[in-house]
Amino acid sequence: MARSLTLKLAPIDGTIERFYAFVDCKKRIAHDGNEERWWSGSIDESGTRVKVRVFGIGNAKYRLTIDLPGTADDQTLELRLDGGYGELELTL
Amino acid sequence: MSAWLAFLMAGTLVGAAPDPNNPNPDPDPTDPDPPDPDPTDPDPSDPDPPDPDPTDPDPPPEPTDPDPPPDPEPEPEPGDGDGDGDGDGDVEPGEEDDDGGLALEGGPRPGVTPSPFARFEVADRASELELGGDLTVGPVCKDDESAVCNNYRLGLRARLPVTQSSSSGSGRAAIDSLNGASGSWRVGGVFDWIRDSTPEDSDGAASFTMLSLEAAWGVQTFRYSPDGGVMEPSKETRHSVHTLMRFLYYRYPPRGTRVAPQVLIRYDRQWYDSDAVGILFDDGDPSTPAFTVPTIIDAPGTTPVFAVTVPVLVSIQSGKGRAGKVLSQLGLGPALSYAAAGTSRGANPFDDVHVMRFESWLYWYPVGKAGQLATSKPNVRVGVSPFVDVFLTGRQPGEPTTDFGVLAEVKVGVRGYEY
Repeated sequence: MARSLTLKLAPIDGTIERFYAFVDCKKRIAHDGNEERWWSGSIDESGTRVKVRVFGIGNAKYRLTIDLPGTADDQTLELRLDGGYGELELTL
Repeated sequence: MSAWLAFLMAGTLVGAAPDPNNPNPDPDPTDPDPPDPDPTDPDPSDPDPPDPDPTDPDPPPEPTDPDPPPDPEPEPEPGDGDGDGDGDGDVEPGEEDDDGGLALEGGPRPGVTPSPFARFEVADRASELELGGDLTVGPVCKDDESAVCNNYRLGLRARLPVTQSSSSGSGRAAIDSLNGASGSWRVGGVFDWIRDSTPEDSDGAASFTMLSLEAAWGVQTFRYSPDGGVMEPSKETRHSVHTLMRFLYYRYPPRGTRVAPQVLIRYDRQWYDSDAVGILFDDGDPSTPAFTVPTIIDAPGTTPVFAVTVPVLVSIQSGKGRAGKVLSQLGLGPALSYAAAGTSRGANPFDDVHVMRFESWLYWYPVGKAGQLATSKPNVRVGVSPFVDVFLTGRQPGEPTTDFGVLAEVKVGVRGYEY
């Protein structure tokens, strides 16, 4: 059974240059970080690996929003880069 | 103008995210394991099904075996709908198509993102407002080469002068082009092709190449009075063009040094009013002084300009300690430009003035309150650069060979690696 997943990446503070999101090793977001980027699609029920890579300047801040209806509705994380780089990996 | 406003509104409306609760998803007809068919569909187990109507634009799937064996246990696959066989005929919202995008009926295809565009530019003595909208497509990846993906951006632009452009005239047309001043309204478009090869690997560098094309056109009717204003002024309608090509390479190892060398090639042919001259006005009354009235007596002019700029934007994130922290908020951007300007009213940009310019940008990417100008809009870049213009050929008598100055910029919502 498939589930619907929406990922959003948005700059909050400082300068974000590139947003990347990989879902089960497939590149789903590869965009400039100057505005909100998103991807929406269906994922497998049996565990999906999501990896986010963010490139920017210094300790810029970005927001990751995960919407997995019925399981994790509109979960938001605000994260800062370290040395212009941020990375997050999770399994849904 | 109203068309542009309408376009902006349309961009905003289309930009709404697709409704994941779309009640009318379109099931994939190629799905090998389709959900149970609609009760009104012909029964596949019927040994004598009615002939499908050849005019039916959406015929039901034709059973290949008139006496099919019992249905095998369906094997759910990612993106193949619910597959629960509950008989309700529903398809999971957000069903994925072959390319990994969503196949939502009536909604925008994910990976296609419209967004409005607005920019205000001040350069030298001119200021311009640029409005438009972008359509971003991607990433479009090959399945067997998922690290290499293409992105596209298609945008429309309207550029409106807010204040009078440079009054420097034809003698500094090459410089005006380097500064980006246009002086009259323009409409045009931009197209970006980005080939991104950033891997998922944590040690892998962000890497992409970008080819960007930009073109703009404008038309303007000029009035001038060859006779000094005695008769009706003459009119002349002229078309101006601006083209830009940018090739950029970007490489950014995690916590390393980001480099973004790029080449910008421009061709401008911008028509402008000739300079006004003072026409003596004397009303014949000896008790009142004679005075002059500024009047344009010459036909409009244009100076074709060809310019090549090679900047390399660098940001060092690998520094340690306090100095490293300060350094990480800064960027450098040395840039070398060559501009050639042709004779007035011509089209060849290489037969008059040739100028070299060197700039050395120091960028600051502020964080915190300082970095949230313009109603908390991030991606702010403040830049300052000394420059030197060297007139190689074509300078006017008495004009210096070199010209020095300082450029400054404040950009909001900027792509930080872009010159």
